[in-house]
Amino acid sequence: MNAHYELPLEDAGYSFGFLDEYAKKEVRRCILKAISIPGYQTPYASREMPMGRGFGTGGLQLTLSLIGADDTLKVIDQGSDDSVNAVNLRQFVQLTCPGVEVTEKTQKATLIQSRHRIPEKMLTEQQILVLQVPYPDALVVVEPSEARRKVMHGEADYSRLLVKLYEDVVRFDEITISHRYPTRLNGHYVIDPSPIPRWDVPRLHQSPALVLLGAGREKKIYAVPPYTVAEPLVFDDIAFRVEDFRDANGKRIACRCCGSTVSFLDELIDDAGNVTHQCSDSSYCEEQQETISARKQA
Amino acid sequence: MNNEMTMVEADIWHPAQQQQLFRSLLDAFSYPGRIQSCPLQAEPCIALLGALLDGQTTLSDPQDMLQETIWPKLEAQRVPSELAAFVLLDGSHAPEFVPSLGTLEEPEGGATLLLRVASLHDDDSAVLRMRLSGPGIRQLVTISVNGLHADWIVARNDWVSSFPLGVELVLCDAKNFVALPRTTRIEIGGAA
Repeated sequence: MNAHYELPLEDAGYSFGFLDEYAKKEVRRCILKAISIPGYQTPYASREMPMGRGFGTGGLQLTLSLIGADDTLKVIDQGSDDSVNAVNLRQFVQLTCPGVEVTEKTQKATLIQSRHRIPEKMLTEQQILVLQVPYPDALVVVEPSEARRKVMHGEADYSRLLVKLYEDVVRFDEITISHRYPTRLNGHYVIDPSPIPRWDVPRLHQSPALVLLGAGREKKIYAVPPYTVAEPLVFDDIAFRVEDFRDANGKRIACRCCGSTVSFLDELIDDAGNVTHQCSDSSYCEEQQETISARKQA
Repeated sequence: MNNEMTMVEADIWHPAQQQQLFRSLLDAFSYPGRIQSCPLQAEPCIALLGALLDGQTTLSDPQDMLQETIWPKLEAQRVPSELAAFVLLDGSHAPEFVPSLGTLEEPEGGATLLLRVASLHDDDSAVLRMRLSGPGIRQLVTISVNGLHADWIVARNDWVSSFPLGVELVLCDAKNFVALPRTTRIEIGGAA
């Protein structure tokens, strides 16, 4: 978005949060049903937003329906506060929600909109996490008809999805899904938890914070309520495992900036072809670096 | 006994107030059994209706608890209780109808029932004690209610027995409210 862009001022201008109150009310009613039926993809009338579908309009509509003047917002894209998607969405909220504070620090935010990551720092009951979702239905890989998928979801019939996972095991000796790992909520609905890495899936389980997922193009809202059982879909004899960040010698790779050995790492390849690793969560990484430099000074 | 409503009206039609109230309601649904105090100086069940309803939704008020002047502001379509998305009721009377429970494919069609009760307590000091567990509840929670007919909870437990079908209850007294989504397991009696 152009930094000098201003919303066109017509007679009435725009209401707080860009969306009109009817749109917000509809989203709010859907959110309540989504929480009451954990993992159910509640249909809603996704509005046209002044950005293309696929740029996080689902998450943005959730954020704009939730946000009030006393909120502090953090927007991240793949763990980073500074990437294009995050910067643009943050600017848009600042433009349309006067009075809202923005932050890069996870612990200061009351509302966090995220694309494809859950912050490293444990969220609290005072926070709400909004995830942007490109493909909301975990069953779409095995059943093209939405009408039939809705019946399968209602009956909690995920046998065909399990067959898909089994085929993976037969062919590759492990389940090859790297992100969007199908996750079962409260023993019933299986969700697509948005393209978060496997690393983040266990953090949905018994999370103190509410997690809302919004798919703008697919017009669906669903939720992982706080303190809810969220289990990745696996077999009894094949355990779920997260990304492995050990090198060839079995040593855990550390972040090149802060040295953390407990965070999710991005792999970077420089022009010379050297491979280095860095925390994906930029806010976490900066905080680790601050802690280290404070310790050195002390 | 009737649970009478007082008609204090803060500015429950103002978008900023409605947003504030919605966030309290969101907390109530996220953490069932936590009694939320209504952030507005108004009858909570009317304020909640004001924050949630518009012309797209349906409302039923079988006991005529709402003043006629409120209806046009709510904009909601008036339909029989069996079909309504939202039903406003006096909790002291036993249930006399079966609300919409949704369908297997579209469970969001299940109704939200707003029950006006006399008082809500976050301990076991009132007449009807309930022990709650389920999503949103880390450890067993006990709440108790005055002015709620026990048949509501018995009927509700029946209505939510085949998940994902079910109803949501929102209990409101003069100042507070608490939400009981269909996933909450309610045991009557609780820790006495």
